[in-house]
Amino acid sequence: MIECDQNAVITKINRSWSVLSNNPIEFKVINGEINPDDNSYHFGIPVVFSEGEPIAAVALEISKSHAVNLSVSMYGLDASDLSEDEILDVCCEMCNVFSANVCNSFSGKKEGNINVPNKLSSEVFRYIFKGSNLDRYYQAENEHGRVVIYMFDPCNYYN
Amino acid sequence: MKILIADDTRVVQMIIKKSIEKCGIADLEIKTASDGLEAYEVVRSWQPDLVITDWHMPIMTGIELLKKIYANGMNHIRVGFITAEPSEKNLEQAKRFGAEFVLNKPCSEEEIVGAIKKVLEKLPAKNNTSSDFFDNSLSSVLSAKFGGAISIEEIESKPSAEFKDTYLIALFGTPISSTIRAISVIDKRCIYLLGALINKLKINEVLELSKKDGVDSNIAKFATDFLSESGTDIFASLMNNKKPEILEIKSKGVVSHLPEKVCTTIDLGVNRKDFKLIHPEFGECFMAIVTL
Repeated sequence: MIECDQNAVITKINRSWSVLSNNPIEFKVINGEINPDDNSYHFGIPVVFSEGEPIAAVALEISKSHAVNLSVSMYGLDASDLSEDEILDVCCEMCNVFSANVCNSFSGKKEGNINVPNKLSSEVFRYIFKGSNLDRYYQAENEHGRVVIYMFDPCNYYN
Repeated sequence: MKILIADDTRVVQMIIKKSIEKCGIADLEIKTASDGLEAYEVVRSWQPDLVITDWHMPIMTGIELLKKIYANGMNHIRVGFITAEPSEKNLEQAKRFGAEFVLNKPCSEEEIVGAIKKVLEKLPAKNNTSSDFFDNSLSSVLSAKFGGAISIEEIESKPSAEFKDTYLIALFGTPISSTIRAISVIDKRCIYLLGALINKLKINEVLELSKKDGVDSNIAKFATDFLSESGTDIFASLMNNKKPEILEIKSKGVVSHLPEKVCTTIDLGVNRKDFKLIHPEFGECFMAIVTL
């Protein structure tokens, strides 16, 4: 279990979402079980700890409706003017920011260095999900679906 | 003003671009790059005034880009980070390596505009070429210090291996890397002159000292006085106000002949200027400054 200041993480990810989406939602930390949603977009960022410990990972699952709304906010364009590449680009950035929010709240000796985010297919995400230890996840949900930030420790990201 | 935005996410490029356009910058030109290597190629060919970069990018990271820019002598280019990088150690490292600002994502438009405006305030006037900047900085620092007691003329550089007098070599660098960024070579007479002016000594007495063979106990003090009072100001001007620190004063202030390695370094410097300092009573003396 990676120790971190949960309140700090929640505050940061709520703020990040709010700043980038202009549409606040409340994330909560959950330690229970979850089943990935294959109809959502998935993104992952490997996390390398400074002490050379095994690789962990932060992953983002975002419903397509949330992804579109987020992109509309960040690009300042109508949804009809956005390509899927542009929407994925926005989600990658959101994954990047969320990962930083999670990583810079690790307590004790752990300092995480994040890498570049990758778009993951549903199949690849399920593979990672099944083969890794889900440490915890943060979830927010409303009428547009759910947004989930997964923290895997360790992660079989490269296997 | 030329600004390069380096970020692998197009939406971030666009957000930063929109923020820059709200700064009211005259003659604004903006280019974008999607990875560090592409950014470096643009830096080399386009020579922007400011690079705003992400940390995590494919091929070359933002910190690698910053180091490469400065390692290749492009010290006039300002670099700022807008990044989600979570490691405080890494962010601190960026500042130590010369980053003008480090903003954490997500940041507001106001934060971006504020950071850019601060950089703008520090930039030299547009028509101030690096050469003019170089000459004026030495003249202005010395004039401010000595109130016109000396005049300064630029002279033609000679190969440093031909230096035959006793010289002070001071090496300046940035505090972190100990990389030498600038070298000053100051002849013995010049050290006496500057030491006399700083310590308000009688010029005639110091002139006599300077004519003797070898050096006396004053010279190390004079050299230190000059460098500690004016050296970093001169080099800060040369290095776009990035205040350097004195890394080393060779041989406690003086050497009889410049070592071959130092000669090579001096002669390969990006900018080298040799100056004659003229004092009505003391006469002429010599100083060379090299930025690497």
